Amino acid sequence: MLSQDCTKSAVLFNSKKRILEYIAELGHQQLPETSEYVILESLMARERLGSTGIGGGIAIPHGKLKDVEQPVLIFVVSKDPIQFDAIDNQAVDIFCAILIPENQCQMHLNTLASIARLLSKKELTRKIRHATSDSDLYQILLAAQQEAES
Amino acid sequence: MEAINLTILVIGVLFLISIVATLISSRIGAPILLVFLIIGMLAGEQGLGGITFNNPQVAFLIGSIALVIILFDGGMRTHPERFRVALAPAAMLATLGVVVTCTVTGLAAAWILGLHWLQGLLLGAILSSTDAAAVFSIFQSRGIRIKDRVASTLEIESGSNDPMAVMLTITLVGVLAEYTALDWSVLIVFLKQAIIGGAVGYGAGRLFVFLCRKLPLSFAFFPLMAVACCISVYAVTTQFEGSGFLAVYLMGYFVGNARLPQVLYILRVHDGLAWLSQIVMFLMLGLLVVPSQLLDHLLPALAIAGVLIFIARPLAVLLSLIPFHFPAKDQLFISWVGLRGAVPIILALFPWLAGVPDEHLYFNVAFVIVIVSLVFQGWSISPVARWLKLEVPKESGPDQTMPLDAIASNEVIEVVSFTLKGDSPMLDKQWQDFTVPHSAEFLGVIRDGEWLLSRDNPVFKLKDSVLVLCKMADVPDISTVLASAASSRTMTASDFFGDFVLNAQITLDELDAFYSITLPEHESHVTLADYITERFHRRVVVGDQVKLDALVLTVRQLDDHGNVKLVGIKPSDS
Repeated sequence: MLSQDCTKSAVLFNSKKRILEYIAELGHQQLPETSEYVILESLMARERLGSTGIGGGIAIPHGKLKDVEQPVLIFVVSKDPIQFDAIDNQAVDIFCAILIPENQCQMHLNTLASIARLLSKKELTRKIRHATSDSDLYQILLAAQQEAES
Repeated sequence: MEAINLTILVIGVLFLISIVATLISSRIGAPILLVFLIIGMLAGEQGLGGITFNNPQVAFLIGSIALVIILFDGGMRTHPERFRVALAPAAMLATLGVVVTCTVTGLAAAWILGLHWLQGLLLGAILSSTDAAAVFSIFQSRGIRIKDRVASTLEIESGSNDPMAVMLTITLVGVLAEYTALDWSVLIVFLKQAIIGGAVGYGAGRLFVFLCRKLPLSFAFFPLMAVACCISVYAVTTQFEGSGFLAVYLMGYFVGNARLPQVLYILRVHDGLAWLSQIVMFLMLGLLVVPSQLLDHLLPALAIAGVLIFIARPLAVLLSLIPFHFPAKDQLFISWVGLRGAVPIILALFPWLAGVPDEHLYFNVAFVIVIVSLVFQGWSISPVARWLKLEVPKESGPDQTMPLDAIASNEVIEVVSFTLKGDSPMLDKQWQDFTVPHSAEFLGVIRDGEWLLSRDNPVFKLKDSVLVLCKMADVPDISTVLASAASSRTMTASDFFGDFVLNAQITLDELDAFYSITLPEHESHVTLADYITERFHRRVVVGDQVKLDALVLTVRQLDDHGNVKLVGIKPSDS
C-alpha cells in the first residue's frame, strides 16, 4: 500500500484542517478521478464521529471513497506537532492516513488496528520522527513493514 | 514479669510473621486473610506454638473493635460516584439478599445436621453476610480493576449487610435462649436498628467533619480522633439498639468524602490501622479455634458450604437484582464473590456467649465454611473475573503521590511524581512538549538524587522522577499523558477499547453512514450515548460493551454525571 510519492517527512502545517487538506492533495495525485474536495470531505466525515488521534502523537485519519479499487496509504510527518483533539489531548506529528474503498470499512478496521499496533512501538516512532528526508522515511517504513510481515 | 514479657514477645513475633507472610500471599495469590488465619491456627494449642486461647468474651471484644475500624475504613474509601450505579442494588442484596441466604442455608443446614429449624436458621443468619474485610482486601490488593457496577455493588453490599446479619443473629439467639418470642415485633426491631444506625452514622459523620474544622489539634491527632470517635459511635448506637456497624460505615463515608485536608492524613494512617485490625482479628480467630474439633462436623459443614455457595447465594443475588436488569455475567460474578470472612466467625460467638445449646457446633461449622469460602472463592476471583470478561484496563497513575495536607486549601493539592521507564512517553522530551491540565505546575526532575530545576527545562532521561504540582482532581488527566503504559502482563487500553474513539453524541445514522452497519429500524436517530444507556438500564459503567453488526462499541469515558462521553470502537473478531 505504501508508495514513495505518498510519504512526506518534516512538512510544515499548523492546523488540523491544513494537514488534512495536504493529505487530500496527495491522495488526489494517486487517484486522479477523485477530487481533492471529495477526499477531504471523506476524511472530515470520519473526524466528526470522533478524532482519529490515537494518542502518543499519532493519528490515523481514514475516509471511504466510491469508485476506488485499492486502499491508498499516505504517510506524513509534521515538523511541529499539531492540535488534533487526540484521545490524550496531545498534539500530533505522525499522520498515517488511509483511503478505503467504500463497503470495506468494517473489514479495514483490522488493517487500521495493525497500523496502530505497528506505530505503538516506541523504537519505530523515534526513527520516524528523526527521518531526514522523504526517501529516508520511506525506507524506514518499508523496513518496518517487512519486519512486521515476517 | 517473665510471663508478661513472654506474651509480649509472642505477640510481636506473630505480627512479624503475619506481615512477612503477606509477601508469600501475593506471590502465590492466596487470599491474605486465609494466610493470617492459618498462622493463628499454627500458633494455637494444637499447632506449633501451643498457645491456648479459649475466651470468647475477649475474642468478641477484640473482633468487634477490629470490625468497627475495618468498616470505618471501608466507608471512607467508598466514593459517591460508586453509589450512582450501585446503591440500590447493594441495598437490596444487603436486605432481601441476606434474608434469602439465611433462609435457604438455614433450612438446608437444619436438614443436613438434623437440627431444629430455628437452630438451622440461626446458623443461616450467622453465615448470611459477606465480609467487608475480605472483599475490600481482595479488590485493593490484587491489582485488578473490575467493572464499576460489579465492584461497587460488592463493596457497598459487604459494607452494609453485616448489620442485617447481626440483627438476624441477635434475634434468633434471643428466641433460642427463650427470652423473646418470634413474632412481628422482630420486624420492628429490625427497622429500629436500621433507622437509628443510619441516623447516628449521618449525624456522627457531619459532627466529626465539623470538629475537624474547628479543633486546632496537631495533625497527628486527627487519625486517632477518628478511631476514638468511631469506636464510641459504635458503642453508643448499639446501646440505643441501633446498628452500630451501619452507623460506623456511614460515618466513614461522610468523613472520607468531606473536603478536608485532614482526610488524606486520616486515610493514610487508617490504611495501616485497617491492616492491623485484620491481622489481629484473623490471628485471634485462628488461635480461638481448636482444629481437631473442626473435624467433628467436617462433612456436614462442607455440604452446607456447597449449599451456600452454589444455591443460596446465587438465588439471593438473582432475586435481589431482578429490578436492576444486571447482565447475566455480572450476576454470576456477584454470586461467586459472596465471600465469607471474619463476620460469621464473630457472629458464631453470639450463641456461645448466650449459652445456647450446641454452642460449639455453630462456631466450628461457621469456621469450616469461612475457610472453604476463602480458599475456593477468594483464590479464584481474578481468574473468574477474567473468564467472565469483567476486567477493565487499570488506569495508569503516578509512581508517588504526596498530598500537601499540612496546609488547608479549598481543593486538595498534591505533588505527584512519574518515574521514566523504557516505554515512557516523556523520554527525550521536555515539559513544554506536553499539553497538560491548566492546574499542573512542573517542579523539576530528580535525577540520580539531584534536583534539576524546572526553569532549566531539563530533557527527560530514563529513571528520572518528574515532579508535578496539581489539583488531585486533575491527576487522572495528567497520568494519561505522563505515566508509562501498564506493563505488558495486564491488558492494554487499546486491546480492550479499540484504537479509535467515537463521540457518544453522534447518532446511529451517522455511524451507519461511515461503517454501513445493519441498524435496528426504529433506533436510527438515537445517539450512541442513549442507545448504550438504554441497553444497560441507565447503570452504565466504563467497559460496558455492545455489539453492532461487526463492530464492538465499548464505553471508554463517562462525564461527571455518569453520561457516556467517549466510546471505543473495534472490530468484533479481534
